[in-house]
Amino acid sequence: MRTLFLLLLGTLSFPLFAAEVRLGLGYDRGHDGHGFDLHRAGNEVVLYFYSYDSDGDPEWFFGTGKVAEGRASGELRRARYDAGADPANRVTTTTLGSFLLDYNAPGDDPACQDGVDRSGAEQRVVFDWHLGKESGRWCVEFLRIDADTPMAPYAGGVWYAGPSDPGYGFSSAHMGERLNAIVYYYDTQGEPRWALGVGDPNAPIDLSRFRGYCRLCTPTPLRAEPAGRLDPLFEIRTGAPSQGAEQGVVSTGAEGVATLTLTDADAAARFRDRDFELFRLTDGAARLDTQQPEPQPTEAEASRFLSQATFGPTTAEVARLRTLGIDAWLDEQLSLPMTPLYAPLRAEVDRWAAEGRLCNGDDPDAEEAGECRFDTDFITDRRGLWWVNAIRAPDQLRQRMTFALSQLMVVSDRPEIIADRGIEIAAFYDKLGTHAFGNFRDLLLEVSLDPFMGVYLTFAGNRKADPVANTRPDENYAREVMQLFSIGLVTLESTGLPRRDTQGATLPSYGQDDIRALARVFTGFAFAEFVREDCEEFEDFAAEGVFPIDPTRRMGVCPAYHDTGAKTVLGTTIPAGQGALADVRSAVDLLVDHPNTPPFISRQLIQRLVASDPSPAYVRRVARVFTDNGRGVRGDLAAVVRAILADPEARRVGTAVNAGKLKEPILRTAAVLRAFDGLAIQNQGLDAIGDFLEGTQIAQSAPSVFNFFRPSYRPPGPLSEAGIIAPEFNLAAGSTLVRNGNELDFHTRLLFRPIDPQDEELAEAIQDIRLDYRPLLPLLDDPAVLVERLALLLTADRLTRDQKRLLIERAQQQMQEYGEAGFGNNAVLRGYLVGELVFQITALPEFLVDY
Amino acid sequence: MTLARRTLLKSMLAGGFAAAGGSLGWLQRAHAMSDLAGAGDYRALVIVFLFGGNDASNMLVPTGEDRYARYRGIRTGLSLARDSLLPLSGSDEGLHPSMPGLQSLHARGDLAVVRNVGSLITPVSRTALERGSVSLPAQLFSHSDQQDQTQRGTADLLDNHGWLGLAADALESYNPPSALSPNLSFAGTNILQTGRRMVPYVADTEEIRGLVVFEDGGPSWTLHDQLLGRTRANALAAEHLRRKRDANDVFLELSRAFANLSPMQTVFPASPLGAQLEAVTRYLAVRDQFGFRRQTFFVGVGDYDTHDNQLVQQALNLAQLDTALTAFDAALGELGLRDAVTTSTLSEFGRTLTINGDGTDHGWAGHNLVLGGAVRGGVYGAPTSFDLAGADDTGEGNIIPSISNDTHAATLLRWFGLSEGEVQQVLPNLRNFDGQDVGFMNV
Repeated sequence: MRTLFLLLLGTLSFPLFAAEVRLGLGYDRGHDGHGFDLHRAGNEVVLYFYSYDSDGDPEWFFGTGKVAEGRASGELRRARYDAGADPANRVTTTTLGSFLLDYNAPGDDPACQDGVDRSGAEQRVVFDWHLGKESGRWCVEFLRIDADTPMAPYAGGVWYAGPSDPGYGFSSAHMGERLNAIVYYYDTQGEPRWALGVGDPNAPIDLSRFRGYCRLCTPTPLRAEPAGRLDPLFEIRTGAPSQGAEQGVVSTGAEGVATLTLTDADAAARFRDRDFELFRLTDGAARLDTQQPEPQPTEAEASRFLSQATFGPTTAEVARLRTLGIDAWLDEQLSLPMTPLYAPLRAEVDRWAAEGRLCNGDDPDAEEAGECRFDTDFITDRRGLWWVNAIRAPDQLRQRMTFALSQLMVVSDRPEIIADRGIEIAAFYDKLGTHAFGNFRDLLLEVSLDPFMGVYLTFAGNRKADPVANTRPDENYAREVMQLFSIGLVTLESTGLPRRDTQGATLPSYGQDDIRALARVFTGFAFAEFVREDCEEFEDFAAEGVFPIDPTRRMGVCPAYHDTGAKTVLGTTIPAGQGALADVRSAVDLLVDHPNTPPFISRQLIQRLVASDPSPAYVRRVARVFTDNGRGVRGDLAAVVRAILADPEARRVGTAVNAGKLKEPILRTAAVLRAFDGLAIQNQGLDAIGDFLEGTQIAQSAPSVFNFFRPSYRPPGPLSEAGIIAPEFNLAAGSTLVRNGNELDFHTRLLFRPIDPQDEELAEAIQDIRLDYRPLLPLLDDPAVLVERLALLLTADRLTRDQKRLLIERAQQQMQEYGEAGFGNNAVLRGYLVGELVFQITALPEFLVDY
Repeated sequence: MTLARRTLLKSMLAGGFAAAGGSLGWLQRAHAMSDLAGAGDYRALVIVFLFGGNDASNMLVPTGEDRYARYRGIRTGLSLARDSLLPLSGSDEGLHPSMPGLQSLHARGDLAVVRNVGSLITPVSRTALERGSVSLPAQLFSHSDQQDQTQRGTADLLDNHGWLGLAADALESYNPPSALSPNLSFAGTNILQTGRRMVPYVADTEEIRGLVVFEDGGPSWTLHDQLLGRTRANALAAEHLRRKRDANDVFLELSRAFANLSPMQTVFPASPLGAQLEAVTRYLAVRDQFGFRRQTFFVGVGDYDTHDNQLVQQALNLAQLDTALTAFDAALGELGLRDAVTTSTLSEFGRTLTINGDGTDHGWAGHNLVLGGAVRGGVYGAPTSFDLAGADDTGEGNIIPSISNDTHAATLLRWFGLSEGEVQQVLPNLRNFDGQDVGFMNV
């Protein structure tokens, strides 16, 4: 092996990972060309022994082993591959022998006294192996590099194609600035073969297949043949390699995908001339025969999952998730009916109307005195009902997904010209909710025909070009439906990363001509009830202050104002004369079928639910499900949300430096309201709830169609320097951070401050609106139990032991003071103390960042 | 629950600056700094960003017969009546009727209108455009991209730095160290003020607040301080923690600085922009307490994306702009800072000359307004030809910029105090353009 590496690399070495057992690439100078690479998986090591068979063809064995007292030992197995079998049965393994790595072997062990010059070898390990009738005892040294050499991206580890397609992959190790990769695959007969490549990890690495000599044969020179290439695509993370290095854990600092293209003529057809996506196995999973049954989630895992899939964990839901398991919980949630926003709001307006309390415009005094309300004046009710649903609706996953979609397909009650409109926005929200687990195609169609979207992005009343009046169609919706709702500005890889030309420039995914053509599609649309009146005054229709009577309906068509000509958008021609509705369907089809849409939408949904800065591999895995749910259907959002939440990157606790996401302000408030049952709040009118919970972020009240933050936002400062994307930090800057911190303080703690008991009105008012800590008050008798409960619900148990200790001590001291004063059982004081603990935790990064 | 009760509850949060605590070192430092600061050497740049793309063609309209006729021929139903325009003396253009205050400022010589500024990498002619032989900024006509380009100042650079932030980096030595950034934004985070070192402090128009738990002090703060610690392994957690600690430091400085602030005579209009500019004046008033000598301010309002209902909406927008800027000018007079503060509007793009019925779509070049005692009043830049076949039009009613964003920025930055070398560093594409200074500043 040494010749081989020296040929390619010069001098090498490998960092020490574990105190006890050194990992990495090892070889024996007396058997140059053979070798092994050793990784860690959980408490075990995984060994790949690459070698040659009696014909000199490459072959490999693998094994996992226990580590004890400076020795690692286990079975050695050989894999065979049947490409025709179903995935679960493709790989069969046979145990052929065993290995023992002895790190304690003395330097003068007989294995190392075979006359071979080993001068300069730093650490020697005896590699004792048995394979059938063969056996050997080799004197192995590890390859070295300067330990200070920066390794970013850190890409060492074992990579494979995923649990559904196991059995092949590659292992990699950094060698200074180069990456050494050994690809493990199979030949046409299903025999295990390997190929090796060394190169710049940021570029394709050429692979060579070697002919060598058998394990018991006299060394002969190796012969290399081109075998293909490996194109690793790693997300660069800074500062990651050291994470966990002390524990010997393979860093998860780099994530990415690698594309393997084998040209080895002897390789099985399945591996030849095809691209495979590979991703890195994580600690604990680095074995060929992966698929384990889903274990019951721990309480912390359940809590963590619920902060991604709902508006926040509750004690009851944590227990329920643990009983059901994640899969069954998802099944159940996906089948729950939608809790509506529009219908109850409409009922509220109707109730005011029935009571004769709607303003009719004739009685300024009543308006002035607030004795009547306009039917348009239910914006705060809408916000209030949104909270009630977020906090209490049983279809939590759908509610959370709908909220995510409302940040992709934005309408807002913010613009001055449509301010005070509550009811239409609610109807729009329900359309998002209706299709949240349906097909993205239907969703985009409904959005594109929604009357309030027509108002917000100004294409209701949009008409075909008029040469006389010298007008042309409004381009607003045409632009934003491409830029924001479907394909995005630039051509994307399936990873969601921009594709770049040879100069490194991004490629626009559409041009001004596409916008002009698409603008012609969105002409002739008007509110349904308007269309019924024969479109007589289409000219005036788009004037200010006109709103649909029934916002649940789609817009209708005034054919005279629709441009019936053919339109060529993104290279596809929408034929002439097929009518406005068919035109929109065609446009939606070509946007949904565009290759950008799966990664563009998948990435943003991941950002809203799980992680601000997902790895390209994660995006690609989800985008693949978006492209095809396994049954040939594109755009199945139920499958997409399942793929997002079940993905290994979502399920494992993020150790990468950029893992997780900052909770946006709404999710912070929602989390405490759910954890501590904001039941009392529901007893208030919707108007009061909306007002009371108004914070730094209001659902469906973004400043513009660009949402509260952009999906590519890199906050200035350390995050930007590290290249980390974190959109939510746009709402955590300066005074906004302070205001949001105080909002949480207000709800969790300040409202529980003891007040003047004489002030009965205030006492009653406070009672009506605050969180319900009553079930927690008895737990103060044993503050440790209370703190554990809070840490679980609010932080998925991310608090450290020290943090818990400080909180417990605070509670104990305070309880002692209360007791000494004779108020040990006073409910008001206990409530304030619970509030203090809740506040303290919710003010910590362990609550604010879900990772 | 009645509104009164709600107000009562919310008022539980209000506590002023009581019990802020902290060291006296800050005061001593502030005094030392104010000694250092030469009172005569203070300059501030205020950027008013008109989000959505202001329709420049209806903000400044030709009054001369021929050009007005051409304007009306294209703008048809969206044109403003000729007799409603507010003429600018010495030019054949008039302002939108909602802008009488700015008309007066122009008459006083303190307002420059800079015509047809926009995002460019190199100069673009219609011929070159049609031949496709010229490099164009990416994603022309997209809000987000053009906002970024306007704020970066360099149209083909894709980093997160803006020309004001880089300028603040260059002039860092003018300002003593403080927790509060000398660069303040009242319109959220932005690229414009983000430099390699300088990051704007995102302020708001409300009363200065700290974290209640910090203001109150006591055992809750002690515990929180311990629980927070100093850092985290997760970068997002670490960053939030860092920002929270910074916010407390800023609050301490601000609460002291604002403690003795006397109220202004000038009454600002009750509009979002009025409130933002009023807040700017408060920070200007306490500049000496920080010893600041070079500051930048970012304010901005939306609703400029007038795809429809433009006649009504733009009138509202420009009225808000006019009244707020006029009040700001008065307040600067009150503070004696008219010559020291220069205000410039920016917008991501102008809008199409052609109309879509009752609105206009995303265009390219637009006009900026520059206001201040150091401004050489007048109308700058090439007039719009109002001819779709003209050399300044893409042929579709998009006006090709004749002044680059870079050049507009450079003109402001030279006044701000950057050396020529620094200007070129901040705006590396500036050398692509012939006229590297619009000339609207007295330097």
